[in-house]
Amino acid sequence: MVPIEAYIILSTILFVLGAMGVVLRRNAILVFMSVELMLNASNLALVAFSRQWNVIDGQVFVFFVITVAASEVAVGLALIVTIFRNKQSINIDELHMMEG
Amino acid sequence: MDIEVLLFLVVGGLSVFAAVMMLLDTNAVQSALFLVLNFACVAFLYLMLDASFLAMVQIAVYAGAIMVLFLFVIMLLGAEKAMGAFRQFKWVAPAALVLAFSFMFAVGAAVLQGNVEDRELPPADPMFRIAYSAPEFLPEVDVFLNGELAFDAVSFRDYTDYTEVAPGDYQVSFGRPGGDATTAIPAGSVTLASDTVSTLVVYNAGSSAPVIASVIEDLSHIDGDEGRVTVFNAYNGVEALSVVDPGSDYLFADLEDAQNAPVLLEGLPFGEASAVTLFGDGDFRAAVVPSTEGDLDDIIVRLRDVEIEAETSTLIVLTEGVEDEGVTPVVTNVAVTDTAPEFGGPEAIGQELFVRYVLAFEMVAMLLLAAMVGAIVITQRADIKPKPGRPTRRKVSRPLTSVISSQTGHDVSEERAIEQPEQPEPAGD
Repeated sequence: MVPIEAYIILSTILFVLGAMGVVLRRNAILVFMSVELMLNASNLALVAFSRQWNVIDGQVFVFFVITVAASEVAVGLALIVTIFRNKQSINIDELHMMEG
Repeated sequence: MDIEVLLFLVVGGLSVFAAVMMLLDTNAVQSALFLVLNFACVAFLYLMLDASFLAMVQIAVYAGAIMVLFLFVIMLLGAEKAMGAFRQFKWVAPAALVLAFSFMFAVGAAVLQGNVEDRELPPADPMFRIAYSAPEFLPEVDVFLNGELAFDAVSFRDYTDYTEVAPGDYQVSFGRPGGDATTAIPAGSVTLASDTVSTLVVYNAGSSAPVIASVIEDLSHIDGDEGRVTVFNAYNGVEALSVVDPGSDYLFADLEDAQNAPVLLEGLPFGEASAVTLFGDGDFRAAVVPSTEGDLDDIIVRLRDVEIEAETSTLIVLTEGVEDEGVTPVVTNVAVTDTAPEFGGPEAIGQELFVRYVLAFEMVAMLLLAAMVGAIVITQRADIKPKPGRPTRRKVSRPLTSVISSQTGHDVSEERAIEQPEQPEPAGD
């Protein structure tokens, strides 16, 4: 039986990789995909804790997180498409709309 | 090495590899495909963590729907080629690496030092119910726990739903329906411990005052088409009871002796519950005999109407019925409870979603609706106008009957008019 620490460490590694993707990549779609990776890593930790204590609530939370991720992707990709239509680019370094 | 640890290392390593490749790949389509691989690996880990339903949802929703949406947008925008994929600021990458490693170090130290495995949940409150089998006392009773009404109007051969109480010792007393606690007759005390589910069997023991016995029940998940059976002996006629299987024609069997019949339970003393036994689902072919030595003429009662359902826990209380013309019949009080659904299966998740988390579930549904409307509003162009074009004339099509008559060569409009049944006029508005 794999100890729960192993799952939490794996979840941390995936989360950090996702965070680095958010910080380092310039392609807005890649940034979004990295956010999905971070959500997924936290889901893994929730499921691991759920198994550890034999309480189903963690899995129900994962269910909600997946739903929130789906709605976030729908709105986020719509934003990206709109930005691309206006700027002809989805490079987030070239987007300075909020600088005033 | 344990096979599970090996699988974890392989699949976990593959998921980290896929995440790193997603980060480093300059082609956005390949990045998305690596992310799909990562999601599949995490779904496999869910399976290892007893979350079978979530593993399927992960594949269907994450790796399927969401990633297809990503790939679609990548290809729609032509964004797969990413020249200069990484940020231009020189200091961002080292800063991010330092922060990432310090975060990993902090979490790793917290997890390894925190003894996560040794933590335990607070114990759950005990649950109990009443199975009433004391006909010589009253046909119907109110049940009081420490002088407070717990159940009202529990009738003979009936059992209540489970209730949760704080753990501890309780004085149980019984009164007439509608009476108050002061007139109730005490039946002894029971101890309800944490993390237990028990049935309090109320029965007669010689005198008319009821006696109470606590039967601990096991409601954990059963794998397969079996049900748990517990038999409680509240039949005062003989010393001990045995339960045998008299064979397939058990309803009318007139066998030579009971010694050939398979023994299901042997020597159950009065006032005690049998050990929990697993039986396959279907009719519970059983007969109660005073001893396995005697012959089948001695059968006290055949359990004809007892059916074992899969994944249930059945408690059978054997009691003396009310004496009628010198004969004391044996009656049963059969309490059937569903056992817990499989951990992580759709049934368990569904029960939680629709019972405890129903409000959150509906809020998430509203969120999805809002996201759908939002996506439509965001992508809709405000400046879209219909193209100015030539004003088109509406064509008036020929009636169908004239088309048919021009093709077939004879007029059908008359025939249709004759064949149509007369429709009654609609009466008013």
